[in-house]
Amino acid sequence: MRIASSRMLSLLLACAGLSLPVLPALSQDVGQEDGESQPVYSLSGDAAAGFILAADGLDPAVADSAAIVSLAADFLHRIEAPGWGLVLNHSLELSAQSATAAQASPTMTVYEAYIRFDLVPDGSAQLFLGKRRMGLGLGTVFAPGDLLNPRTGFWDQKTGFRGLALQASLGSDLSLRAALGLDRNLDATAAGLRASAGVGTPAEAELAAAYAAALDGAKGPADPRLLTSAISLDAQLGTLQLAASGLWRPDALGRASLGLGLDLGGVILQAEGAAEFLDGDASPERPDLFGTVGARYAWMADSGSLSLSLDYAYNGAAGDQLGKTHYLLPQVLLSWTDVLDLTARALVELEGPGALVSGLLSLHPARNLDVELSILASLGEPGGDAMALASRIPMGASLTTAAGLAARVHF
Amino acid sequence: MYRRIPLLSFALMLFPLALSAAPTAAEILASVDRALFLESYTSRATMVTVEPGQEPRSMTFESWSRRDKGSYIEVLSPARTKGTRFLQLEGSLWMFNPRSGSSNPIRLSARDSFQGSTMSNADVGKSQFSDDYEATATTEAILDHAELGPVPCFVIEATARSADSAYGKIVIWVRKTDSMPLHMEYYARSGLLFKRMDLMRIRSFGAITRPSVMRMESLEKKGTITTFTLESIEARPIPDSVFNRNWLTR
Repeated sequence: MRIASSRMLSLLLACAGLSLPVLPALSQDVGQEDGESQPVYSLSGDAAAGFILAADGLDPAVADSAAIVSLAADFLHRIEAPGWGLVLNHSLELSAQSATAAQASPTMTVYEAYIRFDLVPDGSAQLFLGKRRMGLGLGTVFAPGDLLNPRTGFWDQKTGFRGLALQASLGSDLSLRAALGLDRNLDATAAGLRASAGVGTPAEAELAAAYAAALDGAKGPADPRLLTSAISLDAQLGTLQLAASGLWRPDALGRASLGLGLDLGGVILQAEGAAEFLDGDASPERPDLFGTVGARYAWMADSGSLSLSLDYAYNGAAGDQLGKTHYLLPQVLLSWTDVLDLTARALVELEGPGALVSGLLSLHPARNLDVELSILASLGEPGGDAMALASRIPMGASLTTAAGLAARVHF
Repeated sequence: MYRRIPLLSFALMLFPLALSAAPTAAEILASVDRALFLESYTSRATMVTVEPGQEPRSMTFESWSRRDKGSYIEVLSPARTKGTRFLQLEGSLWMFNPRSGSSNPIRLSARDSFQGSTMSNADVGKSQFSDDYEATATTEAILDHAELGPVPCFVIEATARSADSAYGKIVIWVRKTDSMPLHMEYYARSGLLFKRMDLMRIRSFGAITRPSVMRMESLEKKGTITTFTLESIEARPIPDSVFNRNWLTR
């Protein structure tokens, strides 16, 4: 999709700003006073405008600009009804190096789009269909068993997986989750359609190769070998938290993990380990091992809070979700209620050495307005995979060294 | 504001009541729980915090509570935190923001401030006092209530059962006629009085009668006051599934 930027700007503004007085009215129309028998619609989100100054990653053909100008909006739509629910969580973004704004291409990213069915009247067992975020294990920074829908950023940022999920509450202290990931099947289906459409064109060979790569040895898009299945059991035993999970893809991935979390008077300690039995050179006799340990503590007062955390990850001898073996992730979060929030994080490679550092200062000059100043910097010689874990900066760009300024309105 | 009256005068005044057995501290605390926390209910409330030199901050939220389970809270406004969910279970408190890009709830401490107010997370999510506090002593006093004037009260001391409780001790003034709590004082483990709360505007929500306004004042930060206004409350059954972390991320 490519439309003129001025038209897209109007569209974005309409979505982000002009819709504000309209959507609550829509909410009232769809919902009902008692909220019992009718679906209730709600919308929340934010819209941002700003620019990013980047030291690299820019289009070298545009010599007159070192900045990316961007408009973006995030939306979370929810419909809640007895027995079912619907969620659509997406963003709209228009960004360009300033001199090429006329050529800007709008992008829409869908993070979650799923429908929920309650399988029993009290909602203790639920089925989810569609694209949805799901985490396996305890870790919010590193979780070695969390491969069904792995993180895409520093801090538990996920874009969701496509498939089915089932979750059941077995009382307040125990829950069971299971999922069937269809990402590879759907990607192969799409690649197959593109290859079919490209027959007889100059790109035919390239499209056929892409289809073969997507199949990865499977007979077709419906081949069960492309499916990924996961199961997870989470328990709360007083101050002890326990999570066990298993992940399996035929002939390709077989991973079991166990995590423990303990609240020691406000200091939360976590440890998690995983064993891989099928991927690469791993076997049931010689599994690859991964692990993480971490601690976090939050100090809070009437009008502010300070949270500190430190996590170490053993990423396997040959690297796993990142390219190196040993990582540290220190983090500081400072919040002064309704005045400012400050977040500073670093992903430190202990071999190398190298680090990716991110900082975000968010000022709140008005009730629903933020002014955000962000930085992202690579230090030393970080590995290429680490650079892919660029922190989420205001406009969502993934650059390795950049600073950004943005204004954000919440609605 | 609160005056202790001579024991003899008080005894004569309450002579008719003395013919029946006086309630124990534990019984009074249980009656406070019954007055404030229904067996199973949903409610909607707005919380406004005023600090010297700052604009008032308000937050509206809905909660689902069950005495034997805990509380589930969802923020309705302001926009910045709209949709954020809290789940208080015995021994643990969780927060999840569906807009954070995360899939895992974050564990919080019960004694920390609830969203920058003078109330702790436990104050907002609590489903009954008896879980965390043991009534250890009872006296009687006249409370000069801002709306009701002088009110004969039982005064009970509720002491923390464990180190995880938000406060070391809570002293509660309970109206003798109907066990309605009217005033509370919150002490740190050191014995320092650092918050007090007045419960006002007793009104009926259908068959439920209870204070609709709770005004908590921080004595550590002079001039910082959080006013919690109950807008609606309804007794209704709530399934077990609400009190599971899966409900936060549904």
